[in-house]
Amino acid sequence: MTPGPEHFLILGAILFTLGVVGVLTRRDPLIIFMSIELMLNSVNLTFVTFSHYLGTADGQVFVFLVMTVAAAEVVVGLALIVSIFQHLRELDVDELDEMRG
Amino acid sequence: MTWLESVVFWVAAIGAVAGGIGVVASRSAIYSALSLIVTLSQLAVMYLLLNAQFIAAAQILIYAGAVMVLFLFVITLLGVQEYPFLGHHLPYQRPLAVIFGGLMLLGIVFFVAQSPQSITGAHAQFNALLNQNNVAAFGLALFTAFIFPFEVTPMLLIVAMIGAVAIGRSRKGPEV
Amino acid sequence: MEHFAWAVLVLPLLGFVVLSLWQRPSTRVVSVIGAGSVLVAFVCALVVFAWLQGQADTPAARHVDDVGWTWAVAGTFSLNFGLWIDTLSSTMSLIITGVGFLILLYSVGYMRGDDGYRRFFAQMDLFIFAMLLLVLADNYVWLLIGWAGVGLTSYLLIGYYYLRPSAVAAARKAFVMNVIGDWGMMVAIFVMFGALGAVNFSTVFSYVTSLPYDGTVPTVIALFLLIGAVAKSAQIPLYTWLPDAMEGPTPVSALIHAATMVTAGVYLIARSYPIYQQSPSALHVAAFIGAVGALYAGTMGLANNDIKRVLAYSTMSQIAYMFAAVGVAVYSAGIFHLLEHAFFKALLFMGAGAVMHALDDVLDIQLMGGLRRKMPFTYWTFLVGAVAIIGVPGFSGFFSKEDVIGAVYGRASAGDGWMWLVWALLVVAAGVTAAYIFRLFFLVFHGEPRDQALYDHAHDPSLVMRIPMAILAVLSIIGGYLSIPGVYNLMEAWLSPTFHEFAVRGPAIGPQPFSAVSMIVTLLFTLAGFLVAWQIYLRRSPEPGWVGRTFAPIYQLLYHRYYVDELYDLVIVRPVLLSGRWGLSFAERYLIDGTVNTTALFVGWSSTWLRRIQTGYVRNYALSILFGAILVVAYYVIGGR
Repeated sequence: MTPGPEHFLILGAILFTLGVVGVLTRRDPLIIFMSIELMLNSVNLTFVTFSHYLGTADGQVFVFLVMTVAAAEVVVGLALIVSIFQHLRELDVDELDEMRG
Repeated sequence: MTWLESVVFWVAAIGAVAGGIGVVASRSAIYSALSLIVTLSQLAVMYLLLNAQFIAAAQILIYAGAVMVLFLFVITLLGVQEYPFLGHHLPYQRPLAVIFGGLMLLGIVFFVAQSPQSITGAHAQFNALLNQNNVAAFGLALFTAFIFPFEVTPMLLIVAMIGAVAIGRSRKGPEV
Repeated sequence: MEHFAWAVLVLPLLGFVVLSLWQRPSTRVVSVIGAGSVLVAFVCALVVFAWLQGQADTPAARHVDDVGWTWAVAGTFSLNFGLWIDTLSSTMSLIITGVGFLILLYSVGYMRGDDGYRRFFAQMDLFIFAMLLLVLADNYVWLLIGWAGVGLTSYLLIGYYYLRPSAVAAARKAFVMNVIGDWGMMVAIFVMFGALGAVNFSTVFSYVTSLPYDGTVPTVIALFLLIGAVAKSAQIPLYTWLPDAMEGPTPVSALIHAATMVTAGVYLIARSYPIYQQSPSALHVAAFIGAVGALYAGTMGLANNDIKRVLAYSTMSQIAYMFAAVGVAVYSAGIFHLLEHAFFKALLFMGAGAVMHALDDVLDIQLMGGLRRKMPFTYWTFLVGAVAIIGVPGFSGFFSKEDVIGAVYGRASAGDGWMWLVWALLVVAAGVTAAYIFRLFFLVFHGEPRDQALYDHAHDPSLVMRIPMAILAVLSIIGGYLSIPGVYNLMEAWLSPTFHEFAVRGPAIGPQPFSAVSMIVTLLFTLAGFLVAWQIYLRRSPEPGWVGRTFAPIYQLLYHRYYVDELYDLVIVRPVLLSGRWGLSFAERYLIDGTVNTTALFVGWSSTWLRRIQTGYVRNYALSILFGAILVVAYYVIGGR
């Protein structure tokens, strides 16, 4: 069938869900991070879809800004992961469980 | 959309989903990173289909080109480690995650399936330039309506840079 | 003219403020400010009086409602702070400032050397201000504020010797009983507001006639006001605080518990005459409280051995006469007796104070005797006061008492049958009055001294104390000539514009026909009472205890004041204390503390249970975020907009 807006949106939803499951299920912080990136990209897809179908450039500007912020976030996040690795010598988010009640 | 575009869409869609599954399910981080690169490029194709050339180019340049390279640097720096696929600490985490994720997907699909027609069509802010010269239209919007975020974002980048340097520098003395 | 009226009110307040704030003034400064402020206020009151005299003798001309400012506005209801200047309030303010000044002058001598000298004068000035506020206010709320103010200062001054437990207890007792009266006043004001929509005099008095005559509403208002009057004027049943109030210094007893504060109840009834005219039932209640009280208090005075307490019972009895007068709707007679009573009662208290000072603050008359030789001045002035109070013709008390008793007789003859009983009680009470006053007089001043050591030290008081006593003695003689029964009645004429300002129903307000019968019967009873006292306490001069033994059962009853204090203690005080104790042990511990502690415990349990959500695993937190997101999605799926 001819893809319409709903196809793009559902594709975005699937990718988003995959990203969510990845965040919740994996223990390697790097993979969790990559799942987050996946989620961000799915949202970008949604934005561009709407930009195209509503005929306004606002969506694309948003996407641009999201990319920028995601880049910044990746920078800081990876720096943190490296720092944690130097501290714990293993990469497992389940090891970071000291802040509990 | 022409039939060629439809074909391109379906191919890219399947590729993106496959890449996504690869990110989430791979045994090693390297495989996940490579799968993510696949997904990102398929999304770039999608953007081209949606007549957003600038964004497509930015996607390749920034995401696939810079961010993923950074990821690969860190993965190789830290070494690939073998992990069990799912944690055994929290036995309920995996089923619940899948169930909730499925529910959310169903909810979103439900919405989207309801009223696709209202998305297309004439709009008050309909930008005719967008379909002719995407880059020009995008640039116009960025430098007029969104000038403030545009100016503030570099500040964010600088802060991130400083933060990363501050976090990452080695400390004197014994490793704490 | 209005400025002078405001000055009357403000000057004593200024005196209070200055004396409160000035830390270490000399005794002379305190005396000058304390007494002087009241003197200047008296002069201003005279100016107002003269101005009123100069106006035409009509209700409209002799009344000024000077609105100061609007104090409170709530919807359609507005309340001013203003002065109600008419012949009644002018008379009252003259009494308060005039007699007040004389008493303060006396206090300069009486309180000399006392540590709390400044405190005394400050509180007296505050009292005078509050009392003036009470009589000058133009609405019931500010009257009530003045009412509460005199209650407060009475408490402060009764408890002046605050290191004495008996004084503190007496002050507290007075205050508690006064609060009961305040409560009654407040309920009356509420009903007034509910029925008439206003509480200022002009509106209330104009519209009270629209309420049913002798109906529920005006009777309720009148009776609740009466509760206030009864508490403040120490009538039955709220009178037990007055004898105890003698714990305060003698000038306090003279001013507050003889001349002014206790007369506030009479003023209230007279001022509220349109309300009382609308409810004859309430008037009858007042008249009976008065009649019974006059006799009842007099009998208690026969058996008491404390010089000031005898005078306290006398005060209660005389005020009962005033209640009887206003109770038969002859308000000018009540106010006339109020005026004369202020003169001779203040004089009597001053005399008692002089005796106490001379005898080292001894109060027990069984230790006195024969003082007329050592204290001639006090003897003669006390005699003048005693003669005045029993109503010997020619002295002030005679004229005012005749006015009162004659008024009751007049109403009774005019057809109000119950008033015969009132008249009879008042006449008998006149005899009892003569008996107890002269019992006191003979025991203190005549006979042989019963305590030689005290007797040797006795002396007449200093000059500054003698001047006011002399002035009051003169007033006690000539003050009565404002009215000669059967001939003329200046007091009634003077007060007539006030009591005819508002159209009222009920018994006509006006002078009562003169009755020679009433006068003669009263004089006979008075003479009889005097002779009894003369016979027992002077001629036979019995040894102490003779009366007590001969009339033992009656004497015991009277001596213990009909055991009313004990009754109140049993019926009211003890249950309240017990319920307080119960409240503390049960309600406080189990109900209130229990609730609070259980709540705290519950918070503890729930937090222990809720803490388990904080697992420390980031993935769990992310899961809960997802869960929240699903709830939001579900909300929109279900159809929320």
